[in-house]
Amino acid sequence: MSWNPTDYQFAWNVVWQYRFWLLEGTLLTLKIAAVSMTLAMIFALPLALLRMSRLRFLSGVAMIYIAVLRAIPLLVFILWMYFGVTLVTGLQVDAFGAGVICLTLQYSAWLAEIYRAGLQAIDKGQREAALSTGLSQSRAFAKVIWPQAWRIIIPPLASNFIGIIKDSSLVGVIGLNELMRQAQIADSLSFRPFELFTAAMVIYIVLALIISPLASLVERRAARSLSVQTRRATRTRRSLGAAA
Amino acid sequence: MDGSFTSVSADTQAGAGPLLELKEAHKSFGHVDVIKGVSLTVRKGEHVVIFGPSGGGKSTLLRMMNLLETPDSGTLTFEGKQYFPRMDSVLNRHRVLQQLRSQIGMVFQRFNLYPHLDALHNVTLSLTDVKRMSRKAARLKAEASLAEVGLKDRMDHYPSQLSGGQQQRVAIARALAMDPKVMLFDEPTSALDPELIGEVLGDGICPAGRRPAGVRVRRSHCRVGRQRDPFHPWGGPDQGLLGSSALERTLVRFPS
Repeated sequence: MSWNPTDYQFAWNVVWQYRFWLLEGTLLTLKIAAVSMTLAMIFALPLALLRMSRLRFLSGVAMIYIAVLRAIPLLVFILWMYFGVTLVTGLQVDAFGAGVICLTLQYSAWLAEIYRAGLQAIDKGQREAALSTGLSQSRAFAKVIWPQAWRIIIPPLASNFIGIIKDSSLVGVIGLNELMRQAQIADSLSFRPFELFTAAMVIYIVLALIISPLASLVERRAARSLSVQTRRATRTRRSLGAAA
Repeated sequence: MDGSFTSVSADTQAGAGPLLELKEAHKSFGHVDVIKGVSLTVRKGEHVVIFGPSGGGKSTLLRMMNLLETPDSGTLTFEGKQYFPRMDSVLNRHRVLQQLRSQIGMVFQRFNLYPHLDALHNVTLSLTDVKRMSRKAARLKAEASLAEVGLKDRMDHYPSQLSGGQQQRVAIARALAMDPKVMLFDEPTSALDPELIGEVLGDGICPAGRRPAGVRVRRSHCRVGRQRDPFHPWGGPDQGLLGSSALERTLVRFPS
């Protein structure tokens, strides 16, 4: 098939024709992104704490882990995790598991640095005030430091969630039919790459646009106590028993 | 800061043993020796004020009394029990530290209120968490404590919605609600306008009936040359230390 731009006629009806393929891909994309992000958010916390440890050995190990995992190209990482592990060990790896592991490991390294920035932004006096009244280190963290750091962390977390949605397109190479790969397969059947990839792009954009206001909502909720204007709302919410 | 400061014995109740006792405490940060062998006792009902220029080690000394700052050497005894140094396991050490700190209230120079909690919950946090009070009991206690400092109608305000003086009073209420045996004030009025100082230090904040012993840090105004004072009789062989740089060693104590 030769490429002649003057002849090309857009046929957007293929998007409608393959709508269920794209929808299926979108759902898998969301699933991979949500699972990886959740795991990365959990895994990043101990990693950030290790990184901030006063023990040089621990912080050194965490620093190296973060540096290496951030540096690995995700596509190669995914290929190694899926095919490489099978080549070396002979074990069959689950594609979904391999994809999620790669995304989780890489994003946990990024998120750990975000957590660290958030935690270090909290005044030392907060911890001291909590300790001075007899709170344990862990309770001071859970009740005083983390709730404040969380607020700072939310916006960059949202950016990373959008990032992980888009990066999840790379797991198509190991046969996971996420959005991008579904568009590719549909293209291979219909020879309509522009229409299908444009549709995939629109879906990615829509997903990202949905996340932004959700993140702002979470952020506003977390920050309500700092704002004078929300006092009334807070009072109402407390009377409903929602405030801590 | 160095030297040994014995108590004003004449005005304290006979037989009252020292509540808090720091002996031969040393502390250095890097190459700077901040605390050079300070000994200090606080008895029940006493009110001790530490003066000195900034950078002199006043806050460090104060923070040693609840072990927010760990001395390099020396001992800290509270109610006859030695809290530093201790030969505890790591887990136990934290528990013992918590036990000490829950009995010593501290008010910080910059308030250090929790910005994500309203005034009431700033006070209740340690009540429920450390004293294991029920939510309801903690709430009642915190309300009483805040009422005591005149903030009954500000309980649902967040620190950012309170004036400096009000914030400081919340900080005092937070410390007092724990029923501490000693209160530590680190320059409690330095962050306030002069007009607000009365608001914080005025009567009614800490009724005499339940007044704990207090240690207060204040930045001194020029006091060079005033080495002796009827209120602070320096005792023991360290008397001679009050030489060239008397400022750093000037520790004033007076019975309340």
